[in-house]
Amino acid sequence: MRPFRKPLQLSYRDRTLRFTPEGVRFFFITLGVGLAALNTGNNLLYMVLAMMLSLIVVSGILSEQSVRKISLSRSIPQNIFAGTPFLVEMKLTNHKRFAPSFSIKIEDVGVGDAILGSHYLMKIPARQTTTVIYPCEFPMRGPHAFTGFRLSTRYPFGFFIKVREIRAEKDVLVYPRILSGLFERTGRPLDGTTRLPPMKKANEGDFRGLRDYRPGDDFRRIHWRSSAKPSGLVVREFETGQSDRFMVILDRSSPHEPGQAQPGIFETAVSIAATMILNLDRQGFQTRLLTQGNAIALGQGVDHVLSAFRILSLIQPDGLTGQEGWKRLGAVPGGHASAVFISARSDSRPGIPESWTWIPVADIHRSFGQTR
Amino acid sequence: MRSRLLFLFRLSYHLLVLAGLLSQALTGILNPMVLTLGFGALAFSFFYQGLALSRGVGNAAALVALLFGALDYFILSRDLIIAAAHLLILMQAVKLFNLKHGRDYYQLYGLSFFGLISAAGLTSGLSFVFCFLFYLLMLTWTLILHHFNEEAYGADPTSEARWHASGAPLISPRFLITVSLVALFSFFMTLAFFYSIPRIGFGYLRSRHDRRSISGFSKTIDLGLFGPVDLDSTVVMRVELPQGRDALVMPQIHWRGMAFDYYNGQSWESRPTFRRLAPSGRDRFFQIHETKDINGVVEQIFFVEPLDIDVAFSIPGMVSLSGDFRYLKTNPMGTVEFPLLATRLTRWTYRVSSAITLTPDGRERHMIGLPGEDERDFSLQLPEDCERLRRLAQEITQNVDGDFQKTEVLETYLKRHYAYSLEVKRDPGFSPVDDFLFHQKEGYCEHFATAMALMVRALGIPARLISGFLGGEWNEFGKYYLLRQQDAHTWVEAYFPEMGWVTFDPTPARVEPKPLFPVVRGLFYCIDALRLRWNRYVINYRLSDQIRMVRMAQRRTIRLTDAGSDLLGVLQRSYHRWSQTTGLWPKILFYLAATGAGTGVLIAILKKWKRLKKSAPAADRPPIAVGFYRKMLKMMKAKGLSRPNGLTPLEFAQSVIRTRGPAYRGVMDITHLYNRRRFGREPISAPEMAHIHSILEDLKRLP
Repeated sequence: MRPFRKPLQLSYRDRTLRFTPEGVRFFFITLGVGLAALNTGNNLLYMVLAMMLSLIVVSGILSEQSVRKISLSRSIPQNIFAGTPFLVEMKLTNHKRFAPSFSIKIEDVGVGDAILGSHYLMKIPARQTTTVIYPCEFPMRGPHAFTGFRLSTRYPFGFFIKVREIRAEKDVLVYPRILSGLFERTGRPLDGTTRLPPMKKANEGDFRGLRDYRPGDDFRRIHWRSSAKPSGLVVREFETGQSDRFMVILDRSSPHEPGQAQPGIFETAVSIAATMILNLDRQGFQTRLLTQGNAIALGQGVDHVLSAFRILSLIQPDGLTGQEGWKRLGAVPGGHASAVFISARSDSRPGIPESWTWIPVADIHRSFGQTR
Repeated sequence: MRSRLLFLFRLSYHLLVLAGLLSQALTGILNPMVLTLGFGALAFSFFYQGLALSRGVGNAAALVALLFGALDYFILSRDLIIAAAHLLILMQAVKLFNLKHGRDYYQLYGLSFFGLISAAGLTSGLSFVFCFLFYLLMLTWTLILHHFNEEAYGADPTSEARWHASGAPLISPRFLITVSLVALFSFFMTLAFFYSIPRIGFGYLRSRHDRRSISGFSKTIDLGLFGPVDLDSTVVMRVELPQGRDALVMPQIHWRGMAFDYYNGQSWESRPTFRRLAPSGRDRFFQIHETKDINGVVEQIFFVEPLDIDVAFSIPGMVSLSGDFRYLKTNPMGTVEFPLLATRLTRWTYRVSSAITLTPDGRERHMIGLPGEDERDFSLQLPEDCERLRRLAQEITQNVDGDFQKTEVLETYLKRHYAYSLEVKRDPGFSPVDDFLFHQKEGYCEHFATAMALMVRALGIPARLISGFLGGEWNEFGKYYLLRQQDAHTWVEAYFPEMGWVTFDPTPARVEPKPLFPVVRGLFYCIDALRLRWNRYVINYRLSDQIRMVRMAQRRTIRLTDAGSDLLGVLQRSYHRWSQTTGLWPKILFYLAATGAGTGVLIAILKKWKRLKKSAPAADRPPIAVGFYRKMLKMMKAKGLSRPNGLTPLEFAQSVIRTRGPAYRGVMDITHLYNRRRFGREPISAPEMAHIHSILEDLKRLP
């Protein structure tokens, strides 16, 4: 049986009226005065009772007045990474012609009634918009959602909390956590034999031409002389060879191996993959992501990285173990200078080609702490 | 900003406590020492803000207050409400120096509120309404400011900066006006509730604190007493004349109360037995006496102060009475008494009708209680040893013919030859009447009336003594008669077969006290008119008034509906006439204009509606169609597996598999595709869609 936690609460459509402790006391005193008035027939007691009832009604009317005709909108950044705080901007507009709204608490609500952020406003003047900003953070990658707003007020007397729910769904795909300093920290031998591949291109190919700047392009490639023209920034483009191609292979198979699973280790694997793709792309490499059941073609640039992030955001361990798991990778395309094999398994180097770099995630996981 | 809010808050809660204290002080019943302590603590707390009691001292002071309360109840006042009111004042004084947390403030408001309630139990005076209005205003103020103080600064000390940043200063003249308007609105709501809450009270525990016992009018008239009589200007009742708003055109109104028929030589008594009279109808209407003369009936509404009088008054000739009484007691002489309990409580009111007729010379007369109607008729009774009085009466009237004329002569004789005095001397060697008539030759109304009644009886004319009130002041502001204790009076009714009982008043006019300045008198009447309204519409507001109001509303509604129907009928007839007499083109033009106007109104409404819809907050709906997931959720729900709000889709899928087994693995597959579609924005291919459908079919078949 559900515990009886909210004894005095009334709900109707998107409004909820809840008694505060002071409100409960006031309500019971009102009942007492009502009984006394009935018993004595004293009209002055009836007058006091009428005052108390009127305060209850006025409280309801004014609290409703405070939360009605207010619209809200929310602005969030385009790309959100797990464990990285970002700012959410909420715009509140009071559409009432004359009446201001007093004492409003705004809560941004996520899935499962989670309060993602809140703010208190003393007053929103009539026909005015107020902007408030709050910091938000999703600790886990994957799909998240803002489900709506909750406006609440205890105005005017603090006897009741009037809550208005406003549905405003917004889906958010939170990208994997980017492990800053991953390369600095892991550039040294991890197990005495393995090193991360060099993250700086040895040299660039032949100059191919100029093209418009796209977000994510390396600033060092900007051709400043051409960019001085009014058309905007222009970057130099070079021929890419095999040495510029990098394949990131993420193994989904390991964590459920009995006795070998470490909590959050798969998440660290995903974060390593995302961090590598981002950094390689920034260095000018073309990258390819390969996992069991999913792959993206070789590519470069913001769109390419984001599509890799989308896959990495939703990826889940597949539950297969050992050779079965690796078999699901299928035919591995060739033509890459380097390939990194990221596996959450903590056993010895699996049977992968010698040219591939095996990254034992368990060590990095330990090094970075548990990454959720 | 905060200091201004805090100052206003402090000011408002001190004023709130002041309002409560004033309401208690103005009852006039509470101990002045306790009240002084309460007011002093309030002033001290306001002007010396820093002073605060430590916890121990505060508790000790509260304990002392409690002990005093017990002492007060058992020894000093011996009254529960008074002792409670004293205790509330003392506890309030302690609490004023012990305000540390939000709950302390609420306790202070509670104490002052209960103080107001105690005042409501102790008084029914007009002063309460002013205190009540003040209290309501300050309560609204205090609660709102308390709320802002707590919300803005209670939890977050940085909120002031945020407040400034929001650019919406709160404490401004506009805000103060807004809060006052809230109080005004609360007041109107209070009125609405006050008049609509059904008065189904039982009245078992009515207060008797404002009940006074004052001298002047009594149910026995004893001439054996002597000594100075004080003129008491206390208001005892007010009389409205609902039919006409102006004063009656009469020389002097005698507000008839009790009739006395038996004089034992020292005092008058009323001998006829009283019988109980039951009311008829829901209005509690009592028929006192039958009358055929409907034109001469004057209605009067009496508002009686809480006094020890249980007699009904009226202009002579009371025929009916209505009021909130279960029964009445009447006797053949036209005296009406109320049940004892009904008048022992508080202010009360009743409505009477009198069949008023005047003799040619302007005397009141009536036909109630004719001589001989009662078996024990004493209207000609005389005490022993009144030969001297009889001789005097015969001597005065020896040259006069006719009973009426003789009675008039006796009245005039007493008026001319005897003086009015409130300081009566008494010679115990004579009977009171003889002493007045032959020795002192001065007295007040009771002496004159007794002497005349006995002399009239000595001439063989039935007569009786009447006590009541004479005249009264006509309040021009409130349009009612104001009767004071000093207006209590005694006079004579003599019976003549052709006229009935006629009023004779042998008392010479007394020297009236010096009148007040017109401005002061006007102010007094104004306040008194307010007091009457207060008593009538607040203190004496009863279920019967509510029923009357509902009936009035019903009548008005019916009248309004009738007026609407009449208007519609007029419009219909006008249109009919117009359509018969007007040519085709004007008609077409009229219809076009009417259609145009109608369309215009419709467009305006639509535009307004569209504008409203546009300005309404738009909920962001998920932009991507994921109907298959909703379908699966619906299916799961039918199987008793609802997705709670707290679970993400993946968590839900895992919980389904955990509880129902691997057969439900399809839920996880659909969830992955749903996540990919909704959050990854990737399209679902045709084979994937077919796969989804097959999973859904499989799930449908599962138990």
